[in-house]
Amino acid sequence: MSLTDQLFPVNHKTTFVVDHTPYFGLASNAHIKMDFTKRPPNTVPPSPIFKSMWTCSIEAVLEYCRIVWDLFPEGKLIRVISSDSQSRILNSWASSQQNVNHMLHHLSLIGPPAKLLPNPNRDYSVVYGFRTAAETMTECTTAQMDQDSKKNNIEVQNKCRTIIITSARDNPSIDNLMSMFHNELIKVNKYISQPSFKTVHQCHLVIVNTYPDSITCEVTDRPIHTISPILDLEVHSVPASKIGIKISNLLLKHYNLASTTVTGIPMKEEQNASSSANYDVEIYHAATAHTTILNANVADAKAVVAKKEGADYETIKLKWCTPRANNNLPDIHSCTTLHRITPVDINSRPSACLITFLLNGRSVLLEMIKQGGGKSMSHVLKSYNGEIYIHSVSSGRTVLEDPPAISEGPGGKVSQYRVADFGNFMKLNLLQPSKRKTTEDKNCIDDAKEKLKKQTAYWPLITSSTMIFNLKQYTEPMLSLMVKDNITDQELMNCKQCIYALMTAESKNEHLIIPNLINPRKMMKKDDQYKTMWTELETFLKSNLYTENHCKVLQCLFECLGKPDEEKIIEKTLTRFKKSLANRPSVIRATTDSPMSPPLTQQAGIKHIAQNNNSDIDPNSVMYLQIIQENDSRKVNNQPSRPQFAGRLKSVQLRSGNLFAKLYQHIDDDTDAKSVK
Amino acid sequence: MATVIAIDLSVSMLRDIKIKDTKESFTLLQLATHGVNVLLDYLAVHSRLEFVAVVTFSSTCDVLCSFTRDYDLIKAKITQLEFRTNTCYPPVIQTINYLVHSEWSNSVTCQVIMITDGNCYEGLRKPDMTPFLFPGKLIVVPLDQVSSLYKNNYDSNKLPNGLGHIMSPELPLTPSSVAKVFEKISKEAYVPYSAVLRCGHLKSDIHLIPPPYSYTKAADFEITTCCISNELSIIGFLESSRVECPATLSRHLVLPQRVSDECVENNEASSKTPSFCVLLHGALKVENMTALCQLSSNWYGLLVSWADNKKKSNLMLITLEPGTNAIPWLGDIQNLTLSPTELSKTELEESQPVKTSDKRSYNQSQLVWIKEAGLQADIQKILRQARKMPDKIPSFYKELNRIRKAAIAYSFNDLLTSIADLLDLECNNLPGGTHPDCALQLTHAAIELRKPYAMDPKLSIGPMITKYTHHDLM
Repeated sequence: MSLTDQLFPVNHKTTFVVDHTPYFGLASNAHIKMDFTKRPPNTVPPSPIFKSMWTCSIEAVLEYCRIVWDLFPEGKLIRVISSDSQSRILNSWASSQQNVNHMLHHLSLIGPPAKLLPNPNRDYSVVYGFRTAAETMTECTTAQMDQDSKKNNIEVQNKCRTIIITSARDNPSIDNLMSMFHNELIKVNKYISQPSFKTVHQCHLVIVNTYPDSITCEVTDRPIHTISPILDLEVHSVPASKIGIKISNLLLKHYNLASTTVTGIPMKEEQNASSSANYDVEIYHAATAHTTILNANVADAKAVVAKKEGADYETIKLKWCTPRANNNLPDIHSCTTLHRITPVDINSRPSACLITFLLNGRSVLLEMIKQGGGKSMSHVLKSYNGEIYIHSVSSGRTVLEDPPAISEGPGGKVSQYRVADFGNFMKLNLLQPSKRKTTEDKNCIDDAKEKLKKQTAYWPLITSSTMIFNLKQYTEPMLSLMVKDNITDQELMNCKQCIYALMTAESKNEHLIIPNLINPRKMMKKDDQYKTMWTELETFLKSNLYTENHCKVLQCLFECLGKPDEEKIIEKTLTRFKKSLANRPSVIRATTDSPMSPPLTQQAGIKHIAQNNNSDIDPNSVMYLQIIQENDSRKVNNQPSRPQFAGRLKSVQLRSGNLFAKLYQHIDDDTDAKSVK
Repeated sequence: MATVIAIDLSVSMLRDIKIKDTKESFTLLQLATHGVNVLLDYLAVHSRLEFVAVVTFSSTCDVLCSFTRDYDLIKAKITQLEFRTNTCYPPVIQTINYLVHSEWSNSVTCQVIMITDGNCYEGLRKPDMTPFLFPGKLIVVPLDQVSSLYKNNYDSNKLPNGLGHIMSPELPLTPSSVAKVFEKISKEAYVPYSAVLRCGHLKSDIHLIPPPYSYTKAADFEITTCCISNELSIIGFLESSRVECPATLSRHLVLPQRVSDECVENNEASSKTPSFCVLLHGALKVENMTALCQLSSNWYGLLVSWADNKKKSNLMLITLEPGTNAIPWLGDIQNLTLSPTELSKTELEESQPVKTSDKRSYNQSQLVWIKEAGLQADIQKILRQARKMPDKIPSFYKELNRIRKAAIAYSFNDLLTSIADLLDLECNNLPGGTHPDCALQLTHAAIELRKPYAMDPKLSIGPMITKYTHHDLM
């Protein structure tokens, strides 16, 4: 099958029309023996009970739904319509109604078919459902609408499948039903006007004719054949007791599924817990999980394929391999396909045991027994978030066998990589699923890239090419604060204190002790050390000018060093901020800010001014103007200065990150929430 | 990557080609061998990690040499080829399919180079030719002296079904024209893929080995072809335990590029120039973490530290299925955000991707009674609990209501009265010494099941209030 043939599969939309006429209230031959309890000898056993044809049919439909929705939580939609004196729709294409519980609830409201009473006013027929089915097929699903709005070159083809479960007398009646359905389809196609409806381009009609087991039926099976450009027909005729098996056989074809039987599962016996026996459990999953096995050696493939008992499909038998420990799992990269599974016999005890085992977080390796008796591990069953998957595992050699080690290549002989620092960097940048549902088109990836960029603006690869990253006793928390999007006024203080601490050290003529430096003989002179350090610090700060507070840290450094801002870098940056604030279109604001965001002026973090030693500041600088402005505004508001001294004093004394961070946790949170970006 | 060389040993390959202006003459097979040697020599220098296998074919196809990196061994083996019968292509495709599958499973891209006579123009277009069952390309090198009639009949060198294409040497055939075409093939097929690995401002020029191929995926509504871009951007990091085993399309070694091209002398210097790639590998290995990177607009990959054996470890790129849902248990990749702090354990559990609101059928207690045994097992279960009342009163009623609700949904009305009969029977059979509450509850449940409102899905049957103390259990 070519790729284009796979486009617009009919199994995207399936509609069941189930006969709910009084005839379907008749008992089928599907009976259940009710002989459970010991009774006195020679008494009559309780009589078996019979399912009605409706019960048999609707059970089969629900099983079809269960398996499809288990395996394809999205994109494979099913609707069910019952028809008696009128048609009734059980669910819509909406994903909230595409689940078995919804269906069960609505089925309870429908109840059993009416009793057969001669009543000329009431006309019961499955045909009422045809119109409704045709209409439901013209309704667009969300996926179809999305695709339409994408305006791709290819027009979305509305292809679908309708499965009618009814009872017809003979082949001509089937033809009759088919042509009635065909007419309805043509009719609804004529009246498409709204954009949320779509012409049916192709419909695969499957008529499942069923009848009580006691009678013989004249309707014969017909393989799929084309009736008209928009309609293909297929007919199956089965007694009511076999309808469940028939529908699940159809299901495998409709969704290209395959069956795997996990064999030899050791289980304690129900009655006798001390002994254990081996059981088999059959599961369904997408057929592609078997591709590897089937493409390999024909003889090996033949050895594992077996015909499924009582059905007309094949199952692949794979042996349960008792797991030793979970870390015995194959490497991450040897898993080639991944598909959801569902057990075929959901209520059987072996299935339940296997499922519980997997849902509890353990995994099961499956072995393929080859023709010659050899074994190879071919699949793994494992659950994630309450969903069970089958992984196919490539058992072959790896093409990357015996590769050159990375240490042999370029950069491999360098021994001073800042591995631990990069490890911390990675831990600070763990990806987590965001809790909030983001707005539709928001892409967190660009945000993530932007964040990584900020944090790596100045990031030396090796320890010997940096001083400031080796002097963390002085430079932290400044190094980690500066790479943040925003720094609060308190954090600004902390950064400044780091600079002051270095100043103090220099004035006391202390040696900058650099840990991990390999060659002590190469130790620089004290003066050179400080010179190099200040230069590097300047580079670092210059690389991280994201807000005004960031600029203030650099300003502080310049002030401390008594160095003019030669390139006018601060001024330029601040003007740039102002410009971008002014130019910032409201549209962008709407997408990046939450409706609860405070006004921009506050976010820029100039509410408080940290220090008032204005004397050092060049009266012509932007900085000076701002400080004046802020002081003025503060006077106007007559705000009492905030109780910042206690904390500030403390941080001076301790100069230790931990204590400080704990104390001001709430401020951090607060500002983070307000942050602009 | 892996390469399969298929050499035609049909009688037509026995033909002698006289070289103009000299007295030399070569058989087509000798020219073929010459071409293969050229290819192997190229690989030995430029692509030493390449695995090569050789098959020979005529009316049947045999594996001369399975995948190996020992190119000298191959050279030795192809000197001793013997002629067979006529050319037949379908067995070649089949044999190569099996060879590749048994060796590599289906995860490896394979280059197939077929050296044959002029018949390929027609032979490979016959309807019984099927494409390969593994990802890969076929290049056919026809060795024929005269520009064949077939050649003109088909204006394209492309073979149908995406099988591959034909690349013929320039005529007249000489050892050097054959060598030329093989050099061309080598240079086109075995280029290392150059890209930039980027993490914020940190970056490294890298080679990907084997080179990645574009991947075409057919979804329900569109066919997308993804090509890896030449910039691999890291978007964040994940603990390896959270990544688990997603489906992977291909894997590639990520090797840092040498700083300059003058390889030999600069080897020493370049190995001492720091490379971000090496740093990343070290940190990923130490922390047992994985980097998630974007390969193109809608395609993602994972970078991991990987070791073939204990000593030699390497940075590996694993390409995932294209699309943003390649790791279903992490949710949409586009919804992953960088968390600045390490999350505590409870927070981590909370941040598990949104638990699917509608659980899978096997994760909830859904009753399926298509098979007789299914229903019987459910009935037996309530009977077992019935006998153990009053201890099991809550579970008995819970189970009874579950069955009742399923029976209502399936319109299986007879079931309820039938269960009522069974409960009555059970009540009569209770051995002496059973708690009196048991009999009371059984009778109560049976009566309730026979009442008309037992078929009302909104109601539940509750236990009977008796004088016995056990109902505090409820």
